Amino acid sequence: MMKGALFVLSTALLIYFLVNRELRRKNHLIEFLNKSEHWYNLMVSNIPNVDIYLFDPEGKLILSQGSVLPSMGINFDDIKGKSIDESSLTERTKNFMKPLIKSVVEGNRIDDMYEFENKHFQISGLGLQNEKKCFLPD
Amino acid sequence: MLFAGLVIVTDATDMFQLIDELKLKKQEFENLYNEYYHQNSLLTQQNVDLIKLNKQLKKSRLKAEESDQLKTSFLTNMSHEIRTPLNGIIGFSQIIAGNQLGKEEVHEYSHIIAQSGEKLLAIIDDILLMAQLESGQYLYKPKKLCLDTLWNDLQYVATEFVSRKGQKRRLLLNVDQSILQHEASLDKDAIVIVFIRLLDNAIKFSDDETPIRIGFLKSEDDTLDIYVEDEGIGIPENQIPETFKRFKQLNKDNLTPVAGNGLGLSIVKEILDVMNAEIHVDSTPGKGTRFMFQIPLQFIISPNTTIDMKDMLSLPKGRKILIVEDVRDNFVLIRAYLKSFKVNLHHAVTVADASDYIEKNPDIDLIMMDIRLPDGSGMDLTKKLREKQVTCPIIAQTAYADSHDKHLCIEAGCTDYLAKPIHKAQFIDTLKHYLELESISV
Repeated sequence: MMKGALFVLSTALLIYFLVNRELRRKNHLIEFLNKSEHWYNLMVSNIPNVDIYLFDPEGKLILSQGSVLPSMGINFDDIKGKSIDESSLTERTKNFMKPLIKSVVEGNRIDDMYEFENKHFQISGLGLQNEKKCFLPD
Repeated sequence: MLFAGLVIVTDATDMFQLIDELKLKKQEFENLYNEYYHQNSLLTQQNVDLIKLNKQLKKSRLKAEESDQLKTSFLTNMSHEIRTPLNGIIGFSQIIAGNQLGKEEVHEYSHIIAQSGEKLLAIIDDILLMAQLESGQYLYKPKKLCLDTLWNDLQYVATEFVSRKGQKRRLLLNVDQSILQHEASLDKDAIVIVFIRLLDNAIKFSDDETPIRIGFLKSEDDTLDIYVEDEGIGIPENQIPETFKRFKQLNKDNLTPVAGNGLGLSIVKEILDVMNAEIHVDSTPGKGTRFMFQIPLQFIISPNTTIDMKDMLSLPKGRKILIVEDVRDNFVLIRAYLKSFKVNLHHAVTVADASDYIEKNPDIDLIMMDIRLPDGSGMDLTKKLREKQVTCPIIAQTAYADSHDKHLCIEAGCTDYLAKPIHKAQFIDTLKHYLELESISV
């Protein structure tokens, strides 16, 4: 009986320590990722005249950062997680962006100068793929 | 297969504005560069011009300095050369005027006065010639001329010149007889000017006993070669170019200066340049010098109609000659010249007198026309006479002595021209020539 209780207790302690250690590692990684994201945001937000967007294969905006769209009065939060059609962008903007995003998610590389709303943009884009040919984290 | 898409958008508007600004700046820069290049070219050209101007100024300065030196030499030379004959003229005139002299003395002193006058005239002629040559006003006027006439004139001039110098030089003549019947386009006056100065030079630099050789030949290159050769002191080879410079004179023995204004050979050189002729000097110190000038010949093929002047030894008798001359002394001189000839001489003092006389005497044979008259110009009168079909020879006689005036007289209708002072021999010769021509044409 005592042996059994001792085994259960030691197993519980072992699991506790293991879980605790994993939790601490996870928290540590989260904290690291948060910091990393913070530095990334800090970096991208402060590069003048540059926006970086990441779209999923369905064309939904996963990540966006920079100062170009805000300078045109567009809030990133209004378009994040949405496809171009679902966003609150103007029709002209949508018509301008849609073929570019479509081309990129189809795996094409773009790198050209575009003129839009009396402004000039250098737009570079490419399709992303990890080693497992998986586009989103597992 | 679809991908996650990463898009990076860079707002290049500022960059484009910068590029536009840069393009503008580049354009401005290019404009500035072009302007600079243009200005630089102008400056370079101005610099080149300034360098040229500077060189010209240096040349002008050197020329001015040289002119200044020449002016000084000229004044020094001329002062001496003019005062010397004047001394003879004034001195002997006073002696003749103030003393009871014998006939021989008067004759001798008068001869000295005449010779001094001749020297003075030669100096004035040289100065006027040099002035004309310097100002480019000397006119070379070739005209059809028989070489026989030219050769006769040169012989006559040489004999007269030697005789006027009071010398009994032997003149050894060498003439190519085959060319004498040809006619060529030549300026006799210019040739005589050159010839006389070379002859004068030969006389000056050789002893009285030695002969002077004169040549009149045709070269294989179709040039008329006229030479004057003396047996005088000669010229060292290195000094030959110097002899043609103004006021440069060689001394007989490098100690004794030779009389002369130093213009003779420079006038020769400049006139020959105008004639496009060349001069060659062959000289051996102590043995003699030969100056030979070569004039390009342009023969004119035409029948020879020259008149043999040798047959004309006297003036045709009874000819009616009108002397239009307002200065009585000049008329008296002409009258004295013609005293021994039986000609019918008339004197008119004014244009009106002359016109009146000619109207009443249409058979007049020759008119000696003074140019400056109290009531008008002899040239205008000549023009009017020619308009009235008066065809007799009209010989202009004036103290205006340059070739331009001669040209004007001939243009006005004068047949020939005599510059004052008029020498007797030259005067008689001219009269003979035209009166005989008149008689032939009659």
